[in-house]
Amino acid sequence: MKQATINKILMYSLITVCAVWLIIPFTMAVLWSLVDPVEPWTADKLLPPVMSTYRWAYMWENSSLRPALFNSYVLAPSAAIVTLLLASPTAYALGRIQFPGREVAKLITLLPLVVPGFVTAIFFSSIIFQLGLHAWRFGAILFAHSVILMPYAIRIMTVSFEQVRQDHIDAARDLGATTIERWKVAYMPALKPGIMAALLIVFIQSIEEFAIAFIVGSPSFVTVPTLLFSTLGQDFVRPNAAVLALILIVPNVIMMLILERLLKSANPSLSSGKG
Amino acid sequence: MTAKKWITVLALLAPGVGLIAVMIGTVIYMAVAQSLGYYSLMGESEFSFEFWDKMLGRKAYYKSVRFSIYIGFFSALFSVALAYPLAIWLRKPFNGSLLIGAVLKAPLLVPGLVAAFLFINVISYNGILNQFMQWIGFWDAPHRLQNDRNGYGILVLQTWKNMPFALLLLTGAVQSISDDVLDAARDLGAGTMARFRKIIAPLTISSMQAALVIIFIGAVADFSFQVIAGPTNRQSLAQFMVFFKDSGRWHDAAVVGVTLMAVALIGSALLAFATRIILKGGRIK
Amino acid sequence: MSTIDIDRLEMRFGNFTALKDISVSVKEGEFVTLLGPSGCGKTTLLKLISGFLKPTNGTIKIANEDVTLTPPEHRDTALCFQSYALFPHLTIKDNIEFGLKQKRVNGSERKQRLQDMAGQLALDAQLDKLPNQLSGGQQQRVALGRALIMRPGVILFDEPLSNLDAKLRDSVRVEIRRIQQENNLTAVYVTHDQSEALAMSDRVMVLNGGVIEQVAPPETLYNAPSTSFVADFIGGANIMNAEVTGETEPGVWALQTPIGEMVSKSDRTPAAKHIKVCWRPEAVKLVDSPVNSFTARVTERQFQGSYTDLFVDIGGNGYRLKTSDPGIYPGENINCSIEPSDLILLEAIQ
Ligand SMILES: Nc1ncnc2c1ncn2[C@@H]1O[C@H](COP(=O)(O)OP(=O)(O)OP(=O)(O)O)[C@@H](O)[C@H]1O
Ligand SMILES: [Mg+2]
Repeated sequence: MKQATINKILMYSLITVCAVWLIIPFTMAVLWSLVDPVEPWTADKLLPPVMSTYRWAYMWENSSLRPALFNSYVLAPSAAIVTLLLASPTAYALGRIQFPGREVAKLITLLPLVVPGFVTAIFFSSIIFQLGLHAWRFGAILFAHSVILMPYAIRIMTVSFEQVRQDHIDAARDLGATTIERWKVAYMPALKPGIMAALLIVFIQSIEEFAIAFIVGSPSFVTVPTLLFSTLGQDFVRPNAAVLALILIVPNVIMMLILERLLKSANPSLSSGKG
Repeated sequence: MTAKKWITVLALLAPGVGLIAVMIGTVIYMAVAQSLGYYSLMGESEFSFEFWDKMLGRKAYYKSVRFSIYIGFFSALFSVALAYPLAIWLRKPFNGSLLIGAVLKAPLLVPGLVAAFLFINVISYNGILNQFMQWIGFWDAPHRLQNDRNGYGILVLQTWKNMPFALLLLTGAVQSISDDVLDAARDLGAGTMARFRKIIAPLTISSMQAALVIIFIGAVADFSFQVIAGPTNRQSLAQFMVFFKDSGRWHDAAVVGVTLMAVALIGSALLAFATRIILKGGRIK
Repeated sequence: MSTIDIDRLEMRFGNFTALKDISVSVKEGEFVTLLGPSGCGKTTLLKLISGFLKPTNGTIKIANEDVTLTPPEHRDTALCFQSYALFPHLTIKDNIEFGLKQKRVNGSERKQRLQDMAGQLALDAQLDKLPNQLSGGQQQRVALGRALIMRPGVILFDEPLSNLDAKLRDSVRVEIRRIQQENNLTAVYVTHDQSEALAMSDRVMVLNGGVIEQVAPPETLYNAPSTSFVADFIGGANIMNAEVTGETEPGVWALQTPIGEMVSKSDRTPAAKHIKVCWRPEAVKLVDSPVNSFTARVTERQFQGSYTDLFVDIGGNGYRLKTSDPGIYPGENINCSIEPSDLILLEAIQ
């Protein structure tokens, strides 16, 4: 076969893949979010007859979108920071200290990923009830998110700590640096990309986490995913759901772009997360 | 190690691994204990097998176990089966391969609920898929695709969401096989299938097991896809559990929860084991 | 064992031409070395012969059959990789048997051949180990065995010794040659080590920048290089520009060179009026002679044990001499001469 033919076939396959895989679903969502209520979008029309940003404005004014956005965007960064703070000491121990049982400790960190999310959510809420703490839903969800998302942070930070070079630390010590200065000079440069990556990943996961927010938060505490879930439920209004779906996906795309940048500038072994 | 060093290590581990162990441990303990009648939120708390007994007598319970396993198994299987050829195809960079890889992996960024919405949007009664099938003359009238009886919709959705993850793991593994090793196999007369069976598959087995197990656990415990796009006459285990919890029947919910954990655990072990047997021809080293 | 006939082969990668106009034939049972600097296209040519690359032009025949478009798995060639490329998950036994299993050779014959091969390569004790449990030399022999057990018509080696230490290299080199001769295999062997090429081969093919500079037996290559690249790459030479002034008697050419008037005795006819000529540092005699003599001032001396390297100045140009006389020191003037047959005519000056 000629190279040109192969390239052509590849181009077409690429376009088809793109279309089926991403473009069609997202275009449909965008179009639906623009449907103006004055005239419905019926099956016989290729495009919505009247398009406007009415739905966006409507959702903003009349649904729990604002509290949901507020909750999600307070919760996620808090969870990211709390998780990082909780994970770092463990990551330091796993990354820089040789002790018996290290492998076991590493396995235990994976537990939250193995226990199904809804089991965790339901019995965590049961514990909260038993302890009488169910009133402070935000705190409970924040705590639960921090624990279940910790495996990612520990994993990333452990790799980062492993990459801190002993000779840098020794050199700093040799030159008489104090403990704080030693951290600044030898640890921080190596840890920075890991810290950013851990924060971003926990942030994204927390934004889209559904099980715990749904079980522990309902009915009074809404986040964007629980709002979307209820919109997809009984009184399903397609254009409204489209607006919410698009809102939920925006931070992911932005964050991922940042993350990609970060990982490219950092050590490649971080991005592959092997092991 | 000195006692002092031990104390340091334990202090460092406490907020991370320690917290995880305590919290997840308590969750598991609570699930098991409640399934056995303890920690009742309303009535008496006492040990009994009553809830297990009753649950094991319900037909809906078995249906739900079977359905969840079905979804979990086929989601994992389809995702990996689709990801393998793609990973091999994308092993060597070519014009546009980066873009194809990025497009294929994009669903990783799409939250599950959004994915579910996008999907039901495409397959809805007046959705673009139905329109298209009618337009090419394949179907005479629109088909009702949402909430189909066999859960095919969920399988498509799970595959869409999870294939990229499998692809990510497998691409890494496949790319770490050196060109020379594959060329050597080819030079010795191994065709495409033989190269896959004898070289690529055995060398990527651990990534494949990881992908299968992780996708299986996620799909077996699925709630939102099932509620939104799944058959209305079936319930997944998670859905079943939430149903009991919502009606305040914590002990029943606990029985289902423990079942779900057991299914996830045993299923994963079986999957990993079966993969090994199939790919290595039963030789365990 | 089979012949290889390569005809006007060309390989382009996009705009870059890696090989150009390669035509060469290899006889049955012949051992041909591909020699050249890094990046000259040796591996590319080997991959073309084994079928991993398709040429952009030209044909390749193996055993008189056109295989230009045949995929590697259907060619009667076996390639020994520089990196060994052993299958890391298979035992040595399974590695060596891999190709036979692909060809569905029956069990008893497989066993027989495996035993012979393991015996020949002294691998009997290693058969149940995995590749990463073997030393470098052993891995090399497994790679060799895996290729040889196929009894291929053509065996190809891509720098098979480059990962071994010097001592092991010598012994494996002898081993490869012995097995090749015993089985009368047609072999193409890639190396960038000129002494390896001279020591092992029936013929050496020198590649430079994707074109063939010369194909010849080692002795010819050394005694009568046809280009200044070959002269310099093999053994080193003093290369000068010269003008051909006439033929004094049949096969004897008068030349005007930077170190004076010289004569060269050669079967070759000069390629042009202005050509390059060369002489080997060790071809110089430290005696006066009626022809081709000159005076050189020694600028530097390096004692090498069995011989001494002298860097000399002749009429303002620097040259190298090799002598067995260790008693010559910088500053001295010496009288030298070159036999007319040691002054070699090379290519025309472009
Ligand atoms: N797939 C390819 N695409 C583009 N250029 C290539 C490709 N393969 C080889 N080349 C180029 O062709 C030239 C010859 O490469 P080749 O690998 O044959 O060199 P070599 O003689 O084997 O060198 P070495 O001694 O370093 O192994 C090099 O300049 C290389 O960059
Ligand atoms: Mg090479």
